[in-house]
Amino acid sequence: MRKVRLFYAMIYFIVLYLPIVLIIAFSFNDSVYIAFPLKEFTLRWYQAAMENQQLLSAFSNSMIIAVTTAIFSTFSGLLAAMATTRYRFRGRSTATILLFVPLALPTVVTGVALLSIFMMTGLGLSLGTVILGHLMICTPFSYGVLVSRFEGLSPDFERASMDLGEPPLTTFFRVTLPLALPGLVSSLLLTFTISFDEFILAFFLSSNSPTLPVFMWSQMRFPDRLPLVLALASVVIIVSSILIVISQRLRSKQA
Amino acid sequence: MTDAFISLQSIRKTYGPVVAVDNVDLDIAKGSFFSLLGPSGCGKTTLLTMLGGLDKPTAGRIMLDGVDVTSVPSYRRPTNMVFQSYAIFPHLSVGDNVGYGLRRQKLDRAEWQHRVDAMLELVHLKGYGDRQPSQLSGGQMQRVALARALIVQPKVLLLDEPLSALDKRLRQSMQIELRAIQREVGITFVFVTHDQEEALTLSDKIAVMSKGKVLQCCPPTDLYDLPINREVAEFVGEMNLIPGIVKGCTTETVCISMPSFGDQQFPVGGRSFSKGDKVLVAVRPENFEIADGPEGRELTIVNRAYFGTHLHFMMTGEGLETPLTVSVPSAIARAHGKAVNSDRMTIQVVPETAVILPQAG
Repeated sequence: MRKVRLFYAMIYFIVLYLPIVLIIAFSFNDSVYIAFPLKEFTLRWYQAAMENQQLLSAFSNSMIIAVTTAIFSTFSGLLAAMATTRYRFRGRSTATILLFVPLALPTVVTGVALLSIFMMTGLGLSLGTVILGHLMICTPFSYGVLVSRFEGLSPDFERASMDLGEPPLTTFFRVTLPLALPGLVSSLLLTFTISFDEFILAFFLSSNSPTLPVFMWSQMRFPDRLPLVLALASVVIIVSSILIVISQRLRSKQA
Repeated sequence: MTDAFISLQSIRKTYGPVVAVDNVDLDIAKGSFFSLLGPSGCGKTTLLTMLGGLDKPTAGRIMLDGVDVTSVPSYRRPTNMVFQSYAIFPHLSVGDNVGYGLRRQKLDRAEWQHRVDAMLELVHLKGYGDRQPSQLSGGQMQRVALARALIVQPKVLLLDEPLSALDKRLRQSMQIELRAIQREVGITFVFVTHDQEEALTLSDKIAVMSKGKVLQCCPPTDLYDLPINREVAEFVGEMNLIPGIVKGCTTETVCISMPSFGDQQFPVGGRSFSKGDKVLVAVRPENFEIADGPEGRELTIVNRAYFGTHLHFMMTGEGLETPLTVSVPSAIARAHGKAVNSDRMTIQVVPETAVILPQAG
């Protein structure tokens, strides 16, 4: 029985990670064709990626969007988490549900809806509209991370601080913020990763300033650029993985 | 108007349809050790947090040292609280926890350190300033919480069941220490507890609460010897309630007929009775006497337990709805060796030690 379970677990992880390993393997392969056997080892696809101006501008778009999204979604997630865990008010449970609903909406639907609104209002498309779209999907994640942090924190800490003479604002900076810090960092990393990797909304809302995933998708039309996309994908995979691991470590440490 | 140091006037607190505190009036004297005693959910903690400004009363007024503080928020109130959970800030060292409330006084580093060290010394934690809260035991956390609240020299210290998380021996030594600290600093302590023994040991005055109301407010000895009604009598210590009917009454004595103990005269004790009233004769277990006189009744011993200093008996007899608990000091039990070891024993009620309570309520 033990062996069967172990076998199942191994199959599971192989199926999960084999494609990713292949992507990384082929990114170092000296051939434009994705086919075995592997040819010589090369770094030329990485070099080509570094020299591609469109790619670099897409990368910088993605960074701007991801950093801004991470900060704003974490900020609004923080406010929402404090509101629903620290205060009792009418509609609190409804608010909690509404905060998670965007997660359940198909991103295509959200994308179409946002696109219509931006066009309808004459707002047009820009990096800003991508950020707004990403805030919609990232804020629930921030809220989820932070609400579990706050639920584990006794409100007595804040009450004690106020009792000792600190008004609400200084209490927030002297007690709430330091205690919520692991959750905040975890939320920043998680939302950064989600925004950085997100394709569908970015595709709908980015117009002529594509993000990295949109750029990668556009390169798929040219077969000879596939290895370049693979090199890029490998970098994204590794950086994202590191961020997710750090984020998870922080989440488990806070308990 | 009263000249009490703390005066709670018609305090009421409701959460939706739930009445947590129901029209409470209390006066607390300056420098006293005052306890709010009651079972969980009786509203004692809510009353305490309202005193500290962490909760607002739905109605009523709180006066503190002649000032109406009803709508003064906790951070501007001269009260400090020791939380049941201690609420020691986990991200700060012990010293920084103790000195937390001093920030607003803008002391220089040396003065700040001096105040913190002095306070740590008061609670016997000298040299613990650099430790992290995670390195402390429960009893030490409790002391840090106390030091942190006392350092800002509040007019009133509020303590929310601060000893309930400690084991029995530690709790007893902390009780003595708490009382000593209170005498030393001279600050008014308002102490919430569900432990009646703790309240009796520590307090100058106790308010017994139940279902949001104050049932009785008096010094511990009065609470024990002269409970005002059945609920207080049963909550504070052990009490035997022997049913009876008033047969007659003079200005000094009342004659009560008990199915179990026959007719007996009791001092009136300032209460009024009329013939035919149904009453309860409340007798503490230690206030029965082993006797052979005409007032004595022979009862059956159903259970016997030895407690070192005392011998406890459960006794039943004719006319008793519930068994009586009788406690006899070991020395006296030895003198009555034959009686205490047989199946039946003759005991009597000592009228001066009994309290007559109305049967209802």
